[in-house]
Amino acid sequence: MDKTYIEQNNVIERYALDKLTGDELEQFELYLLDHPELLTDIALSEAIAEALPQDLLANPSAPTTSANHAGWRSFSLAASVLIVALSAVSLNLYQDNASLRDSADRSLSVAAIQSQIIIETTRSLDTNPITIDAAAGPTLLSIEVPDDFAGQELAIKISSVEGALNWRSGALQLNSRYRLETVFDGLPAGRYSLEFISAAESTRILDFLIDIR
Amino acid sequence: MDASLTNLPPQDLVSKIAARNAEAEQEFARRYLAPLTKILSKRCKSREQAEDAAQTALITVLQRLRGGKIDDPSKLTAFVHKTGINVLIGDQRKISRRETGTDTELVERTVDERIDQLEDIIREESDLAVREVVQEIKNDRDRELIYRFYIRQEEKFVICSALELTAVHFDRVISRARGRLRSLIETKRPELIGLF
Repeated sequence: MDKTYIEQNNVIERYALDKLTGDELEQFELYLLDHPELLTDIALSEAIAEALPQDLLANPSAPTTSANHAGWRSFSLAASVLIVALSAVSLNLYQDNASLRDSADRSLSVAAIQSQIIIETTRSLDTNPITIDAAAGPTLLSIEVPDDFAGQELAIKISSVEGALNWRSGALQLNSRYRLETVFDGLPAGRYSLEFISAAESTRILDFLIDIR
Repeated sequence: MDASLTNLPPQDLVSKIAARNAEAEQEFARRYLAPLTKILSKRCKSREQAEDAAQTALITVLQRLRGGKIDDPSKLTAFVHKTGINVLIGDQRKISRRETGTDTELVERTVDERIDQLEDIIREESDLAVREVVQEIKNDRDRELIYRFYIRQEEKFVICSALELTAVHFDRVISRARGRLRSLIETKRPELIGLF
């Protein structure tokens, strides 16, 4: 690892946000030991993340409620290097109306959405299961996936461990933002398995557990 | 301390410590304690635990260096890193800091003030300074970039795709925000300059 790689890959910021893993983390740590001057840049990046106003975006499509990043949870898939961040939040989160209109389920209006689960891509590692708060009513499930999934149709399957729920979306197409979206009914407390399935081959690409409390 | 020690390559630092050069030992502690503490604190999320582990690790390495027991002096940094990680995960719990009191004092005395000073300054100044940085970002798309990266913690390629930005533009905005924050804080607290 060298200065150019660090700059071009935003390594300092990603380290500050705890998003480095594996070899990249180790290589940066070794670099940091020999270049302690980076401690100041790391501290500055951490300060930005901590002190950044939550109402940074002040337009109608922007978030107006708290989206404390500490509440976001993540984990990875070794094969397709996905990371998941989940948050039960109100309808005013970052998700804009345009992307909701693009979602697979058009029968529910924006106002009907009570919560959402957001799944982001990254190359990180974390643990199962993920715990989120229960939310009544419809939930927007928004998944951002790497562009190497472009052109594929994926389905999402949610099932409770006790067998009380077995829900599967129709084939979902990635939109221009590399995002899959669908809406399902609120999940009562319990443990659930969330699976992503290739619609064409019915093969499971990723699965993980969620604890709804 | 001998200023020439500051930029001494690891292998030369190893040689001097093996020859019982006290200033080289101080330079060793000064060089590695702050970054190693940071590295371990990111891994264990506890500053106190990280400080203890870093000090224990450096004392362990120092003792090995004094005994000339480092196989490859050019890999001193990797050895420090590995020892720090091992101590943190408990592989070397048998090491007693009580048995190495003098060394512990050396390590603690050398660097902790700089770490505390850095964090104190940034903590005291960052709230106002970050708001000032944000206010200076006039472009809505750049503000959204900052928001999505730091608060939503989205990946770079996702943000660039969604906002139709180039990677170069992304890097410039992120880098400029950090640089501006540093500039604002350094103006108010010049002691930050050259701290590390």
